[in-house]
Amino acid sequence: MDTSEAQARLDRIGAFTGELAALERDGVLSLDEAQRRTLAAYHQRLVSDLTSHFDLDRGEAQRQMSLSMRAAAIVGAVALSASVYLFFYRIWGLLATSVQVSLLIVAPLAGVALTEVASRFDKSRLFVLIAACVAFACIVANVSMIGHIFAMTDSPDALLVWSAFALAIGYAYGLRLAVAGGLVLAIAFLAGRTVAATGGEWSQAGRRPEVWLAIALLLLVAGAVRPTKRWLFASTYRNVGLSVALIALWILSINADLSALRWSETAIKATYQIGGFVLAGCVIMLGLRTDWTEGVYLGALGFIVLLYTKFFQWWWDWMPAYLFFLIVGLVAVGMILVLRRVRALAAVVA
Amino acid sequence: MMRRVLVPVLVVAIADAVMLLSAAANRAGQPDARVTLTSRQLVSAPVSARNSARELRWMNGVDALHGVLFGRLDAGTLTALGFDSRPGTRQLGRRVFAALEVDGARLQIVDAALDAETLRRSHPDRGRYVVARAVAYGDGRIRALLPELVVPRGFVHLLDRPPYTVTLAFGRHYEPWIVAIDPVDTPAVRQ
Repeated sequence: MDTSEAQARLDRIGAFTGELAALERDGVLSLDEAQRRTLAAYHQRLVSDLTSHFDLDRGEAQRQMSLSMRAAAIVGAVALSASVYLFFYRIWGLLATSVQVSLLIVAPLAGVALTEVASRFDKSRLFVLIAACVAFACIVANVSMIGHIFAMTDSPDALLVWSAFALAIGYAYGLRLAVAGGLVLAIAFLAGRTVAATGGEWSQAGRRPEVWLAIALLLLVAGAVRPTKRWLFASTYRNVGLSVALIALWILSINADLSALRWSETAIKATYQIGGFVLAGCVIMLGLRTDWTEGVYLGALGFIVLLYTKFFQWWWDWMPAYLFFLIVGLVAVGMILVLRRVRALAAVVA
Repeated sequence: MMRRVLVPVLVVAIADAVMLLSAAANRAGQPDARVTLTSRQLVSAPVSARNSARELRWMNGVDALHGVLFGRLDAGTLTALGFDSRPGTRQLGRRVFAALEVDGARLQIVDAALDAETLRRSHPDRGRYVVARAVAYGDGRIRALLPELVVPRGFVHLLDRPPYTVTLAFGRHYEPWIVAIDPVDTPAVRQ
């Protein structure tokens, strides 16, 4: 059981207790004293067990506070990581080369040790996240600055190191953000290597969205075919794959110069626009059927961005601005009506 | 605990071992080239309060933009590098090797090839021609991949008293390192 499953169980217990009290108040259901005591003891034991292992929210107020703490943790992690990185730059000129290199090697190892210590004492895992981010900043500094000290030629292999480190830390400590970052870096590494293998300059892999589109779709499929309950990060794989794939399709739908296909500009743009709409639509349907909430949100966001980009390309140049925004507004109202109907149908099916 | 920390620690250990062995291999044996440049070709980068290291930046008058050495290639060389000369083709840059000529006050890219050995055979003078990695583009531009050079602490005091000369060696991986910085008209300082 992970934290989200434990939180869901705790929420169900709270909802059940509240509903039972309401039913008893209305005279619909009444438990005898023995049943009430057995139930209360069972729930008490269960809640005590869950809260001793996980840092859970008991109520809406605590949930809001937890969200604020998570936001603060992310800001803190980014700021501390930047601080560590900039500290290296501040002091490395004062050190001999051997000391510079030794410090750069020790820093990520110390970061890993700090993350391990934090995981032993911090049930909320917010400090684990901060320590993991600092460790990641140290490995970034390690590779980039050792490369700089020895004037080494750049290569996509640095991305492989950073990706492997982020994935290792993410899997070891159950950190979705680290796994997501590791996957994005893995896509960048594979894209760079693929472009280099075909004779291109690896650092220009960003100018070949088709390469990262293919890798992202593989990631999306990998996350979709594995059973979610046995694979903790399946949704992370799906979300990262989907986000990168939608971004690649959107870029290709507006800039055919970045395509490796030797087709006309119109054919390339049209192909990827249709591809984007099909992917977004399929993901929304899949998300609704399988309770993949993030998929529904990301699919809807992708669909809207593709649609409004198309509107802009079609109409902005020749249409009066007020009319353009009127159409955009009316389309939004139409989408609300359609989505309300889909929502009503979903309620009937449920 | 061991299982959790083992993989990230192994990633750090393997990555650092590979990088340090690569740096050592680059500097082992006879360098591919050994050249002396002036303080007009390798200028001291501006000192910053946020970066305590002193670095040397490549400059060469009109060809250098922000410390990046550019050159031009003719159509024949572009074809030899694998570029498609037909109009309208959407081509990425290609990683190649460039020959840089060090001639007095001039430092410029004079040739390019996919293979470093071929380039060295065409330009055998190792005291005058440097072979370095570069990126060539379909429009004829070529950019040498010469990073800013971090100056070892023993030489830093000389940078504030130009003019000076910098002796560079380029190793087996065509990556440079500073062998010496010599103030002009004063006894040499060597590492």
